[in-house]
Amino acid sequence: MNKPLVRIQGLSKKFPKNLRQSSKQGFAKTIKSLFGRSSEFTSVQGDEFMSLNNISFEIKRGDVIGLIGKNGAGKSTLLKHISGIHLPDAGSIEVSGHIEALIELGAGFHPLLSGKENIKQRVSLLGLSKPETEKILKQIIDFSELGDLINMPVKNYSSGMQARLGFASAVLTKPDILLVDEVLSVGDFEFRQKCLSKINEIKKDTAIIFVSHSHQTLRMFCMRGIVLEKGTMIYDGSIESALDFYQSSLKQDDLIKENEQAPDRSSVYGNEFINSKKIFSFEAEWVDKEFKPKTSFISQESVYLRVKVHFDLDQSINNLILAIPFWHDEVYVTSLSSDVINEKINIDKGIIDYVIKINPAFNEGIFFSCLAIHDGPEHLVRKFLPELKIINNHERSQGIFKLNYEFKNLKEFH
Amino acid sequence: MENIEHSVTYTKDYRLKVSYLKAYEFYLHAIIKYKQFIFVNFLKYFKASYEQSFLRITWKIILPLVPVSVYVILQEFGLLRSNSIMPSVLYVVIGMAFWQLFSSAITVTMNTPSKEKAVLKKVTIPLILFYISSLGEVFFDYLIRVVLIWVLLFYLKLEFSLTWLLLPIFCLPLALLGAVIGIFCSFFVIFFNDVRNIVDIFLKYGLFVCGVLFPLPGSGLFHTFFSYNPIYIYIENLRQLIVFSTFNDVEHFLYTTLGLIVALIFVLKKLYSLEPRMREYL
Repeated sequence: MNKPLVRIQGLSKKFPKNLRQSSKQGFAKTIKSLFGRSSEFTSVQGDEFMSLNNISFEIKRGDVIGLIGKNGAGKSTLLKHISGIHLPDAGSIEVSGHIEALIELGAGFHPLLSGKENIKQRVSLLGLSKPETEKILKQIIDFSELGDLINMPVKNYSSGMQARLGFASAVLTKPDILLVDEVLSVGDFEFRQKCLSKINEIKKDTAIIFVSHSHQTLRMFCMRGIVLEKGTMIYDGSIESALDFYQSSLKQDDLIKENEQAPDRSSVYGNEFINSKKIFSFEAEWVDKEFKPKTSFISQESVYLRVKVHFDLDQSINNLILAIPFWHDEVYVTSLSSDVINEKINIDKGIIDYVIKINPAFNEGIFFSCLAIHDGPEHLVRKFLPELKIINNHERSQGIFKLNYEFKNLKEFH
Repeated sequence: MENIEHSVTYTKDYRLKVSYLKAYEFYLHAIIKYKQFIFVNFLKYFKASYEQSFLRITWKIILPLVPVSVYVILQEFGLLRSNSIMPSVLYVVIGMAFWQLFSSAITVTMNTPSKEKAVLKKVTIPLILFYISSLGEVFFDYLIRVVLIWVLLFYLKLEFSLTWLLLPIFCLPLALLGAVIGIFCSFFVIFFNDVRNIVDIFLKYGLFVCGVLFPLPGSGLFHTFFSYNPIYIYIENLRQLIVFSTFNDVEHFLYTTLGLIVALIFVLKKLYSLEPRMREYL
């Protein structure tokens, strides 16, 4: 029978908020332990926070679990508990088998020693015979593709090279339990693919726990997802449903945040502006094809923006231009402009009521944009638009835009 | 009960209720299983300490050779005097060899958890393996000093005694005493650096009250105090044993050794209980 390799029951952990308090607490616990007394688990005090709260789940060989949550949700802390670095304040963690943690891959190497000497030390932890050690050493050196550089001191390695060594040392030692904490974003593309392929290869014989903010990676590897929020496990289910749950909880959080306080966006996106002498009123919103207001769209559907502006008829406007720049993660990504596509915007009795249709192009993500209305070079309006949220439709995607492309055999090309 | 094959149930203070016997059994298995790691780690410390120097391992000889040479020169010029019947240069050189051994044992064991923080935060292998590896280097340095003492004994034309050959194992009581104090301090140094400073002060000035450089008074309050100072008891007795093949104070030596064994048993068990907590707070 496939017994659980990790069984977590009612795991809770609290941490002090400052270092001095942490030292005092640790010191007090040490003194108690010296006298053979166990420290009591008390409720959270004013200068403490609950890092993990009553977590329970099991992992068997062959399971690949994705831990999902915002920064500070408790994902890395949970991994540290499983690997035995942290002890629970309440509850238990039962672990059976050899654990390897892909956490900070370059950490633990001695900078003055060569890569080979460092991995020799790492492999000696397995307690293998000499021939077995030599065999695994060779495999690690081959996998890391460092060649002769393996004899160079680690201090001269780039972070990517250290990651190669760290990854190879951990994965090739055939762990029963593998903990992966957001480390597969290091190294070059080719090596990353090699790492992912290696994880894919060992996953049937290993219990793997993944922490990654890349939903694509989680979808690719995990069958199950656990969502953590402020140290509490709020969802446990299939990876698809867990990611959907996480997305929807993010949206709710964002709404609450928006109501709580409007962020200062001008430092990134520039200032808002409206020329009230020429414009009486202004409305712009994201809508569906029936022109009903909508802020979330599926990645493969068209997105519409409705713009309605009342102009002062006494003011002359000669060359009206509508433009919508987009940002993603505070990085400018593209713009739509009536001027670029030579679309003339006509004012009808002092009003424009336009719909801008954007064909399916956005991948999953949150896009920020603003509407700019110009009269030739003169700014009339520059107003931020509501955030445009694109939800994944469960298709594989890469990057922030889906380009319209096709693959064809050369013979079929024309 | 956890075993060395990584099958373990972590709970709050999960090692607290484990018996002394089980704790030692765990350590014994760990030392046997990870003997290769202990050796590789010892080599790592050894290589790393001289990797960036031109003379490399030669420093291991130069560093202890310089003070011995200085003491010999001072003796030749009559500047090194002592009220002991033992040649003063021998008195100082043997005293310093034991003191260096003792103080290095304290320092390396006390600092091992912080020094190995990066590894200990990633891999949950027993901390005792790191202590043993780091004591290996202390022992190596002592062996170099032993060779210098042998050279000095021949240079001074003293009558050969079989106890000279026992010099390498004479390090044991002081190395263990240093390790016991160092491990005990390492429980606290991770929380408060004050511990490290206090130990540093003791190691800088303690040699003046431990019979390292000059003999201590033979009577009075000071004498009473020093007759209970375990470091003085070991240094003085072992020095007498090497040079004159006799024990100075066998009774105190045995009591101190008994106390050391009890302290060692206690500290190792406490290390077993506290290790997970230490790892957490590193």
